[in-house]
Amino acid sequence: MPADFSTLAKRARAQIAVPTLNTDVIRARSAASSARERLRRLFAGAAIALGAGGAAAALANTAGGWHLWLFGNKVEASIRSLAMVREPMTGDVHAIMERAAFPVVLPDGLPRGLRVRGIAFSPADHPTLITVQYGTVSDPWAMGVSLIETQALAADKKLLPPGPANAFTTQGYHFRIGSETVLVQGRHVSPAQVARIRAAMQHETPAQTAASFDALLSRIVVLQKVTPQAAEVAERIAPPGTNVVIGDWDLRAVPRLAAANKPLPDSRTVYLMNIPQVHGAPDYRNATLYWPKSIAIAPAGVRAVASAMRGSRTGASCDCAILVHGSNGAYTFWKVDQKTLKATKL
Amino acid sequence: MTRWASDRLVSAALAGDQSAVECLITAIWPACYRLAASLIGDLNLAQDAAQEACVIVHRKVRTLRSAGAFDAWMFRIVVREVSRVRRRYAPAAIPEYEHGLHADTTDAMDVWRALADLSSRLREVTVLFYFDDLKTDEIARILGVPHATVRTRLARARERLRSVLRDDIEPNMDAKEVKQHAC
Repeated sequence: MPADFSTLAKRARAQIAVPTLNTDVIRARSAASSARERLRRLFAGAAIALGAGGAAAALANTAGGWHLWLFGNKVEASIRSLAMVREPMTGDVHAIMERAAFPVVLPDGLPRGLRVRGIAFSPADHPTLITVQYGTVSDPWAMGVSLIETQALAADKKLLPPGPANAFTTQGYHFRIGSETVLVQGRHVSPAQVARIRAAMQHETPAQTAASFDALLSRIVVLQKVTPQAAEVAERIAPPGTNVVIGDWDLRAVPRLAAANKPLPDSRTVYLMNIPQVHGAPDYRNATLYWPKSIAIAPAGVRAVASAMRGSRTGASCDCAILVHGSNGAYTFWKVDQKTLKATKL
Repeated sequence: MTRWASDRLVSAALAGDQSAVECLITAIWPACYRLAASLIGDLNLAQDAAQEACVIVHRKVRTLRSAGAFDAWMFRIVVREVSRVRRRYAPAAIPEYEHGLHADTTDAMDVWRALADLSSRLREVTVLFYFDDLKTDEIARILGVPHATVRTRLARARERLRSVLRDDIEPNMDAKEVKQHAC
């Protein structure tokens, strides 16, 4: 028997029988985990924080889907369910506004260069909390603006959750516009920027703010995983009409879907339910995910994409995005290199 | 050669070769699982933590700047995932290594029982130092704690292990420490 603990330890470890690894499981978990990571980052914006001098009263919401306690410059948020649209388009925003439980005044007066990268809302059927996440080409998660139905918040300290506070503080600002409470959060948000946002939202009509907001939305359907830079190039070259840009995740699925004569699903919208709370924070990684069955490209289009990929010898690992333009049953394709951002017609 | 896989494989994975990423995961899996098992002492939880570590590698290996950074990155991921799993589920009070071991493992059981007697923090440094031959400064970087803290924890762990392990194992416990601290 060896007297050296290190040798003995290594030998003991080598005796542990290793179970077989299923790489398909890892691949599937990796895909799901990436989606959840994006949600987590999106909701970092919804983990609302208030600036110094904020409300001294505790505000609590007991609406379905989420609970929010604001107390001074601290916040406790508990989110049980939500829906999120990544790279939303005008139609998506209008659908959310129509379903909202309050007349939504959309954010306006934001710094130049920001684009809307995602919208999360809760509860999904009649949202009383809507969070818009803005990003630039270099920083996809630069600023978050949450719109909350003020009536859904009740000033009652007693409603604060019992036990040790899980509250946290980050830089953020809040103000009221009509029937909504607006919370602005971001790493580089200044009071002057918040004042501009507030002034724009106060002085412009809902139609004006909606028009400004539309300008920050994607004009084409951007699926995963397309870089913001490649999406911008695709948007520039996209002709008017229906356009979908596909990243490597979906490119991988195209041959299989084409063979099965199936459509390419539009995975931009996702519903999260049964979100567990771990140490006072929502644990999106272990929530139940549900993707509604909406279609991005019809089966005929998927077959056309597969054919174009074969014809141009473009594989799923090309590190490129493919812009698909459909018009009256005819499809046109462009390949956008995600590194060089060079676009080529296929 | 990294501790976990060949430089060539790691470099290919870093370059974005998807098949290399999957080969890399297959290559690191046994070491990843065994490290997690040593750290947590529960084979089911170890599998969960090791799988999660592999998922992170699958997602993020391309973000690494160089193949040279892979070793430390892997250790950090496994240690972090084990901590996460430990926080979420209380591991079995008595380690379940028996289920995964071969028959003649009396010495091995001594090691596992001794480890089970350590707190998670002491266990981390013990595993990384004695099982993985990492230097104390490397362990400090992996755990994100000061070098002195690692040395203190190691000293405490050694003291505790001495009282648990049999006499014929005990005398040489410091030999590796002297050799490694010389550099």
